[in-house]
Amino acid sequence: MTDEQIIIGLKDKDPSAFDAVFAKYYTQLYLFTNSLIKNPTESKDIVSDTFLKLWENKYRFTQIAHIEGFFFTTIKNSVIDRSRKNKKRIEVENVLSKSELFSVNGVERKFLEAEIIQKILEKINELPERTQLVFKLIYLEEKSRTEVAELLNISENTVRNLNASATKALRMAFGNEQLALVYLLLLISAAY
Amino acid sequence: MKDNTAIKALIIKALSEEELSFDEQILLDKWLAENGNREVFDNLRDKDYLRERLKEAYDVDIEEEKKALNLKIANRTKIVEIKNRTSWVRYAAAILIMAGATTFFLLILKKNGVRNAPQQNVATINNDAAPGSFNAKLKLSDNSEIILDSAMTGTLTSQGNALVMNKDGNLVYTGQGKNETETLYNTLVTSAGQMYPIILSDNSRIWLNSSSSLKFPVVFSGKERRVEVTGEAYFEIAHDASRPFIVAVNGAQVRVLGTKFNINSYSEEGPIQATLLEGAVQIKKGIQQTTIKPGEQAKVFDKEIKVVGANLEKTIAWKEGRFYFEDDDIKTIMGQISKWYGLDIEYKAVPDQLFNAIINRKVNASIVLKALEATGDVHFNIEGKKIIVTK
Repeated sequence: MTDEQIIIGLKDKDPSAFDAVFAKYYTQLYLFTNSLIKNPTESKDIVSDTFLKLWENKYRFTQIAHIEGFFFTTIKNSVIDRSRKNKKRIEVENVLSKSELFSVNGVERKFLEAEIIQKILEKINELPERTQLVFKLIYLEEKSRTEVAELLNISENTVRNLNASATKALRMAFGNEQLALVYLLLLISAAY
Repeated sequence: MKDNTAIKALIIKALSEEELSFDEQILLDKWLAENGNREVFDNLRDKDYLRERLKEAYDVDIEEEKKALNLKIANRTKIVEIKNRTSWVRYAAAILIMAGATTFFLLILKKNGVRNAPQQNVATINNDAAPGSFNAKLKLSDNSEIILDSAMTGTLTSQGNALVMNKDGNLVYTGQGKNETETLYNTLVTSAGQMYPIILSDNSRIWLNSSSSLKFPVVFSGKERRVEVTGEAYFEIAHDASRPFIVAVNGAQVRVLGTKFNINSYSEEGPIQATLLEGAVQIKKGIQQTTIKPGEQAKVFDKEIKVVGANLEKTIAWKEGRFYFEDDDIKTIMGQISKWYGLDIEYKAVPDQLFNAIINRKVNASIVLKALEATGDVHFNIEGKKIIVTK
């Protein structure tokens, strides 16, 4: 669904428009909230309440940017409310100092970071099934090639190739061994 | 909140170790130079940091969360759908379908016959209130008043060059403003439980809702057509490119060319809300001004005018003779019911559910209240001129 279709769909109470908004934003909003309060359960609650508020205000939005602004403001306020109510000083101080919480830039940076991580996650999810699985096992779960080969009943060679193709497709510094080797060579040659 | 689209794309490009153009590099460097941004960038390039964040993200099951949210929405909003019908049995049938708890109620109705049932079986509501009607008061230029009733027909009076008639339930003004020495104004006034339609001398049609007023010249002369409104009114303005139509409402002005729109300026409902159905309007307050398109609503606050989307069916439901509640809380609903039936509201408890209902408003209050009660989330008692709300 395009952004325009989403806005129109929301006004028409089209459930697929609401689903589209949910799919498009949930992960980053959860990451954003969790980066502020470091509490998965409460973060899910806050995000869920935020979507509820969106549903109740569905006619308010004439552009997708309004919705993003709404998400940001609503979550920020929920978090501030929560920190006010929170008697356990230690828990709050652990996460963000009061001044950071009220510093607009700090919070905006966390929002931006969450957006980017969601984008990276989406890129990973675009990988072909097996490649994706191998990549996640190696990178996220830090399993060795041997373990992965055993787990998926494939050869270690295949594991290495699939992982390589993943990191190539993602083209990010996910610890690609070949890249590391290249850097090492560069470092060595630079020393001379 | 700033728009991140550009920098987001740039950061992803940089993280993917793609080559940046000269301009892109400059933008990125500029962003990196700002306090705290470098750290964000470095974190994202740290594979351990990224791993942790990604694991956090993958920890959430989006489908599960969606299901939980849908449940929350379903629990919060209760649906009562009673469409525009006149038969009581059809109302009761609709209630039965939606709520189940009123089975007993319905069976009694079926046994005793259709039309008389309501009076006998209204168990909890002691009194009742008749719905609003097409009545109003017209104040003439000499301050005398005429009580209007939609049943009246014929010429009521003349005002300067204008003839004032009541025809087909409408108050009609005919006349030309060519030889006016001074502009005569009349004011149409409705109290609680009243509404009235009027056709002005330029053929513009205006429907006035309860507790509202419309002050207008008996004929339009001059370069503008200007009226003043309080409360709520729906306008279908005759197109006249040479004379813009201006509605003054509570310090703001709505300027129209030829168009259909609704203005709600009940003070207890917050900002003035001007909703456009067709055509184009410009809203002005002080130095704030904005133009809206069909389907949009301008909310006029003290220092700003906000434009939002609108549910058009809901906006003019009152003019079509209906209550249209959509995810509305009980206070909003009771506000409308209070105005239409001329009853006060007392809250012994305030249910926090949201309600959806489309109810014919040409019925007694008890029917509307019973329909809402069928959800099981709210309870009413009418005592004299007061509705008491409990959970």
